[in-house]
Amino acid sequence: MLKVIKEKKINEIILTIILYVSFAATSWYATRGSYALAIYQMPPAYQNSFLASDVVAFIVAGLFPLILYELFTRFVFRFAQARLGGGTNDMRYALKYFIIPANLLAFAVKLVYFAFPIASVMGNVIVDFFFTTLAVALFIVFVGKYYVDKTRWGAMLFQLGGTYLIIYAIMVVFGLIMGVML
Amino acid sequence: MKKRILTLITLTMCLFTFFLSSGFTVNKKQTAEIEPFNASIFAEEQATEKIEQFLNITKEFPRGNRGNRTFFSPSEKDMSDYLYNYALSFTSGEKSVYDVKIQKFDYASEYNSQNVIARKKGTGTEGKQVVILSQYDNAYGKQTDVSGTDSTGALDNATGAATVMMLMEYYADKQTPFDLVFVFTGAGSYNSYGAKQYVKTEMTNSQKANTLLAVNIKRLGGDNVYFYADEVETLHHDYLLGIAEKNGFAAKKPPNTIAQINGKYIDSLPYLNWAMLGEQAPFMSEGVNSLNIFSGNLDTLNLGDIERKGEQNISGTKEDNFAALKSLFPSYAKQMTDAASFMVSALNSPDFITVMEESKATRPSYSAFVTTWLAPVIVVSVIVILMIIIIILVKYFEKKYPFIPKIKKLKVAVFGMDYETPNENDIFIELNKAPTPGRNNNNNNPFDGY
Repeated sequence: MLKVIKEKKINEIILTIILYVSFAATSWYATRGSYALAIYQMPPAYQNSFLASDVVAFIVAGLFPLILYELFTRFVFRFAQARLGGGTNDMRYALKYFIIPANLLAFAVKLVYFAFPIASVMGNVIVDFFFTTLAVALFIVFVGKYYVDKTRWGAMLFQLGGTYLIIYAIMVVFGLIMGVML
Repeated sequence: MKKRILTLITLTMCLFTFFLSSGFTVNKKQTAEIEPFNASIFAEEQATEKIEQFLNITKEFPRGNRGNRTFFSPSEKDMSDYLYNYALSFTSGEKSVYDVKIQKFDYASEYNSQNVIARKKGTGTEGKQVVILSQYDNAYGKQTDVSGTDSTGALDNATGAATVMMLMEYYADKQTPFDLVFVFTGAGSYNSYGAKQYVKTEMTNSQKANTLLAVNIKRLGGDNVYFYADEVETLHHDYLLGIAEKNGFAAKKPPNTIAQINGKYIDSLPYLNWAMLGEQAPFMSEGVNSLNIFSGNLDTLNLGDIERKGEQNISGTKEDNFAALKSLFPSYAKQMTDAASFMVSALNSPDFITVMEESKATRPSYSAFVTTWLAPVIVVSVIVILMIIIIILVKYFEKKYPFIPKIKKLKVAVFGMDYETPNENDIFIELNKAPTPGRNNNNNNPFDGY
């Protein structure tokens, strides 16, 4: 596996497609609801069309998270390049190998929502946070072992880990304000 | 290491599943033996006749002439007057069998509507009651329209209201051990506003506590009939489905794949689904046993609230009229009679009261799991803790593996490296004069030739 990552054996475009599918899977349950509401407001002629199907909801579910992910990671790794001593493109490539299984595991857990929809209220926030944070933590350990000199570990931890946590906290607080108070 | 991580992840998933599944199920109630009800008590012709009465369909007015009954409209008010007089028409001697009243309410002090409430006292003394609701307004049209349009809300919700009318007629000369309350709600198409007003301002706390079951009947004629009770398994849901099955009424639970939409329809839940939309919703908010009987097709890949598979919905459109109902939804009359028969069978069941009370007592409480602010607070707290850990680790690494930046100087060796004293922190750019024809290029003196 290490060889696959370090030698970039899987083409980046293919990996990005797999990443997109993983984002679609993990975001699918929440997107179904938003999509169902959008269908309700469509003209009757469209409410029973293919546009209103679960398949389209799955396709749509992956788009926004993927765009956010690409923008976020490009910005963070470019910003961190000096502190990490270079090689951030390789790191960015390697990150996908951690995020994809995290998304798929989160999707597997979220299948429980179909049986117990009440679980989705807290689960939507906690499950994603748990698996993504686990993935980022493992990624940081991986990067520290294979890409970054030990004298830069402190800077790397602060740059990558700190930035991830701060941005996640902002997103959660924003969601709390929008969902609860407004 | 890999095995440990995999084991940890598997254990975590198992814990999650166990945690989420615990406390959300109840033991299925073994019901007393129920005799299948004689469904011929309600004939399909009777269902059609009641719709025709409801819509006032005559030879002169084949579409009906009660207007479009849009919520908050004068035609909705006229409909409430008709239903009020309908309820009063059932008499025993000179006295009306039902105690009928009109509950008026308004929205934003500008729009007015009303509920028609008909109560029949039961033989019991404890004040127990069953509430049967149906909205009588229509989602299509203008508030100012009195003359009517092509849309008369035949499917949604003349079918539901007419079923309640059939039940009122049936129970006019029969007794039950509990009070029967028939409520025709106004402004039902406006987020069940009339039902909310009924529960909040008309019902007393004692009445809410004594309500055994609140049933909404809505939009009958679609592909399938569904019974929706709650977001968790409840005794009364399984019990009532069992009664329906014994009566040959093909009702079923909404599928687990129904989409959950962010938004509030029931006070205690931060999301909603299509099965929740009905006049029983405010009762569910109050923890009262509730049941929504409605038709549609939620068993396809379509995420919408579909009436028929592959066909356009007519609810809330100008197409929703009696002619369309008869031609496009031919099973409407059967579903209406089945629903009415089911209600009678359920209310007549010997252990109905016991099961309803036990269901209410054993209903799992999930309020802690639907507190919307709790999960974000937990996550932010964990993030704060992780940030503290990161800061500690950063300090530790900086101390243990201090980063000493290598400062390299860029130097230009104008006369070549022979005249410089390099060290490993210097980067040299060597400038050597190119050999010139005719000059003594073997001479190392850089000033030769100048």
